[in-house]
Amino acid sequence: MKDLLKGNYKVPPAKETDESKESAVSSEETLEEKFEAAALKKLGGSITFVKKKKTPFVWGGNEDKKNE
Amino acid sequence: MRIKKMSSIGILISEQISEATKIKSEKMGLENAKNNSPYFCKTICDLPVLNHPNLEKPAIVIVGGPSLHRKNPVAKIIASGFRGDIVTTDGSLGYCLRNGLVPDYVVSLDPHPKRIVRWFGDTELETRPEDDYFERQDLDKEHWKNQEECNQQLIKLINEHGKRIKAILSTSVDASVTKRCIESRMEIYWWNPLYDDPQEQDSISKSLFESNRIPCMVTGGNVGTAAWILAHSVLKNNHVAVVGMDLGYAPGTPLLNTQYYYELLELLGNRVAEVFIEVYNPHINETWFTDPTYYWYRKVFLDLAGEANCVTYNCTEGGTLFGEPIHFTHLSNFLSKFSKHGG
Repeated sequence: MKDLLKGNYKVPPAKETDESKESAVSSEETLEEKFEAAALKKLGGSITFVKKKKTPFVWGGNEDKKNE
Repeated sequence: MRIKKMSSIGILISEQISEATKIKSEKMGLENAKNNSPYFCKTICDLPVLNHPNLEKPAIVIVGGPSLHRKNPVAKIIASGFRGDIVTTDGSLGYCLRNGLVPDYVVSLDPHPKRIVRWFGDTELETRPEDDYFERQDLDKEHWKNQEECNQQLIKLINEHGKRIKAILSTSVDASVTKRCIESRMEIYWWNPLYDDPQEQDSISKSLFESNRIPCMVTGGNVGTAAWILAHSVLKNNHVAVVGMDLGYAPGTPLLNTQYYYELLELLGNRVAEVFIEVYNPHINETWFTDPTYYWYRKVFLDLAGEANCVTYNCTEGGTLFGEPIHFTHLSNFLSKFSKHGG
């Protein structure tokens, strides 16, 4: 069977088109996005951290500013 | 700071760690707060001022990084006759007790259901699934090689000295940690981690505070930074030194021995090495390396240090945490300033 399926001309190498370049870039981006998404589920620290400049280190309600 | 080999994927991931932490820990922390509620009595606002005869109010915060067993700072602290607050994290409590130092305070924060109680001696260790978390990392390998034996030693030490230690527990800790603190007769002082901006309308922190009337404290994402915040914001220490605060790994540490190795391996496969970030520390002329999570902690600490009402000294003598306004110095220099016998 192999003998019957021999090619009878040489296939030229595929040219790198803009489309194929874009496709490579987007697949890289997808990979990065995948890493990011997976990282979100696995690599967190011990506890959430938020601090805005106006927030004191210790907050005990709006009426309590003694620890500010 | 000079980053010798910039890891773009590492930096990219580090920028997402804040959100990652929210997903990973927030729900668990809030559930734990409900489970711990029967034990709420005193809060960090009720902490008595300790009577250390040092008007400059120094404190040493002992964190559980690899430098603890590499540098053994506790031996120097004891020898110096240091008079000031000693604040430890859960991860360094056993190290302190094994080396003859009973700290004034131990801080615990992480909501993990099985691992954190190990730092207090786990009375239910035989029921836990296999976990090489402690043995694998660059902690005290000699100590951790026989898990059952070191667990028994910890239970004994903590039961013996617990009554002299104030447990500064985040409401997010697992109830098993609370139970061990009660068993060992520690006095517990509670705080809520600040989960979000309490000024926002749907703030979780605000709602949590309204339900339990426990003050919220900024964490910095990890227990070491939270312990440093306690030292200057609650205990009102003016000079705060940190030891064992590596936020990274010593040169030559095998990647397997890094904290997040398995998680990173799962993500990146054979490209795992690319995620680590090398940081040249000019104070010690060494290049350490760190992972995205610790890189995030480092950035957060540096930001917070600029807002803190204290002088911060990093006496770790290793690691990646340096830069304005932190004084990176030898522990002996700090001790010579603030101790009875000098450094």
